[in-house]
Amino acid sequence: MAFQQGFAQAARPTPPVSQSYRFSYQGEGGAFFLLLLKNILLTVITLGIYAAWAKTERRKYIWSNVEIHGQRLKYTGTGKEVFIAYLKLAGFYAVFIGGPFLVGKAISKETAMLVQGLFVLGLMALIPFAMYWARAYVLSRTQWRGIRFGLVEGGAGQYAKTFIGGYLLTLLTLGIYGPFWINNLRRIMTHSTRLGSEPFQYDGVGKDVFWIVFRGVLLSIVTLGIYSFWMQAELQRYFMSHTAFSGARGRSEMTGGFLLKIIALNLIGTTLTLGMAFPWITTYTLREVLQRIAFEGHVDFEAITQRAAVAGAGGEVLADALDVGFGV
Amino acid sequence: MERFSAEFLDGQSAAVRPVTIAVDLGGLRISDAASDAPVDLWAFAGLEVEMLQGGVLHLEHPGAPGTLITSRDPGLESALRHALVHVEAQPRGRRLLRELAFYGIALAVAVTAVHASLQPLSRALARRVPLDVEERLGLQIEGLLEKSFCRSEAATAALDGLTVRLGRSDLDGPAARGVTIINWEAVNAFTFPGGKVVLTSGLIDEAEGADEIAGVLAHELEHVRQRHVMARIIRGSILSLGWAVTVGDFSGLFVLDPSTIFAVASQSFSRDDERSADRGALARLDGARISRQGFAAFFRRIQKETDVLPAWLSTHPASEERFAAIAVDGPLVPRSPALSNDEWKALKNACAGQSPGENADLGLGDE
Repeated sequence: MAFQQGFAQAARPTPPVSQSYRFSYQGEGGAFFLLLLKNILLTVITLGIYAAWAKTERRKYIWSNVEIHGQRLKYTGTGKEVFIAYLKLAGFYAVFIGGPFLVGKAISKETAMLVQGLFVLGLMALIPFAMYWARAYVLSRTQWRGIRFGLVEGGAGQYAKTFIGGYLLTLLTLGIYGPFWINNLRRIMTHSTRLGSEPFQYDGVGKDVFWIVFRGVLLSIVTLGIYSFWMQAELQRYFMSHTAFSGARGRSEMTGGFLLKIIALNLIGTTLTLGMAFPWITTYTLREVLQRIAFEGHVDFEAITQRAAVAGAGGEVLADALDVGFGV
Repeated sequence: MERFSAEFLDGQSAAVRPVTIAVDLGGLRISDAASDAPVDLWAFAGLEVEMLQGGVLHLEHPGAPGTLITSRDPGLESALRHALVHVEAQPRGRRLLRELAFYGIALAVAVTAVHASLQPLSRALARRVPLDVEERLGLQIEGLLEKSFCRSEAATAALDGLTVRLGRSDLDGPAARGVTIINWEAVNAFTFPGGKVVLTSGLIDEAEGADEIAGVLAHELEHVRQRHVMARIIRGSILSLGWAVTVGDFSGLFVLDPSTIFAVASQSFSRDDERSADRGALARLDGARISRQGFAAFFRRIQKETDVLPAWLSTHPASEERFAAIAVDGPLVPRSPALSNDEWKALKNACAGQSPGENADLGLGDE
């Protein structure tokens, strides 16, 4: 009996130790300011050509200072690939502007207007694709623990379908469908995101998001907009707590008061310094925001393996041109 | 031999392997921290080392693509430097201040150079744009305003005669064909892309004599001759593109709307154009033997409205500066009125019977 008990204890797998995988930002305002100064100078003297490299250098700096559970992020994108994408975008613009002009010359003004209208519609339909591709590019150039992030290939179509359908439904329902739409988009984007072979999961429910927004909007009206910060914080906490990776679940300690403080600091700080303080304010904001995020649970890192990078920079540049880019 | 603690990431899985690193003459000997079994050997040649902020070293080697070693052991950096390995690091302390000063000054010089070259560059480019191409831009605006144009033959004939006298023969395009009056209450005169000159009925109502109109008209004809509208379009495009490319990504961080900063920066060019048009207008008035006093009197009267903004925010030079430039009549030659009494009357009644249209800010070269 004693032998059996001992055997059972030995055979029982050790339960994985639950851990807190915390985020932090280690950058400094002075070094970031120097980088921005260098970037602007080189962009001015190269008449804008350096902008592609400037963007990449900026990301490299920020990424290398984001630490998750003791390991830094690494950005592997290159200025050259962004520059080539810019050139392709210039060609796209040439067709967009020159196409209707040539049609107008060759056929008629009415046909040219029709072609231009179709181009504009096509461009609007491209917005969700560009958003997805931009994220795919940035993630594919981001590494943590030597493993690339990424988005599922071919997911842009589903994202675009949900984006356009949800947008129209939100318009038709005068905004009521909006929270469900946002939740659906988040679910698709999160499910499509992976670190190497391991996908992220999202189990948020549209109905919950709707009630957070419904209550938030009502209280924001009563409090003349002040409650909107608390609504935003509640949404962030909800989204994070319904995001999971491997055996760990997200957690956010974002509060309305914190959001209000950060936004007020950004407004007052940039006003008083005419924008000169923004490297320091950005550094402070990143530090404060990231230290309020964590994943709790157990991640089996041995099981996460590398996958090939596939996304090009074209989607990201297009997203920037349509003003729906990644924002960093 | 001293060993330093580090973590080895093989780029195949996300697992972190604790290792020790020994720096010897040949390179880095990487061993498993637990078993001491050799893991890899990295030669100094090609070794890339970066010291990140927060005291984390990142080591990579072309011989082991995808592999990364990270270490927080401060001794490793010293040992690498001692072995003459270059360690890339963000500047700190005095070096940071020195580099900030260098790049700050260099940027100020570069921005000044770009600013100084923008005016001649935009003017040179404007002269190379075929007038019919520019005129096509103007036609789009003209189509929107056509309903408000005043159609008085007598007034048109009076303005025709005046522009001929002011030397419109040196112009091509619409300016050479005549001047249009628009039924707007605003006191203004402007030029469409392509060179169509437009006077508002408000300006004609405000004027106390034909000489005043002649001064304003001469000024607008100079805008046309010097292609200021096209130059302004080109400058605006270059500046907005430059702004978007250099600081566009940070626009959201500026509380002061970036377009406002950009607009203030571009006003100095506009003031240069106005000064230049004023100078040309005086030559035209002298050539037509029309007194400069009307031109000066007009500015004096509208001073209250035009000098609301400080000079650096305005598109036009301050009125005092303009009076000084206009000064007194130039060469002593007999001067005659710009229009006869009948012509002046016809001009004053150009829009009689028409109700004023809505004024629109077209952002074109105005008086």
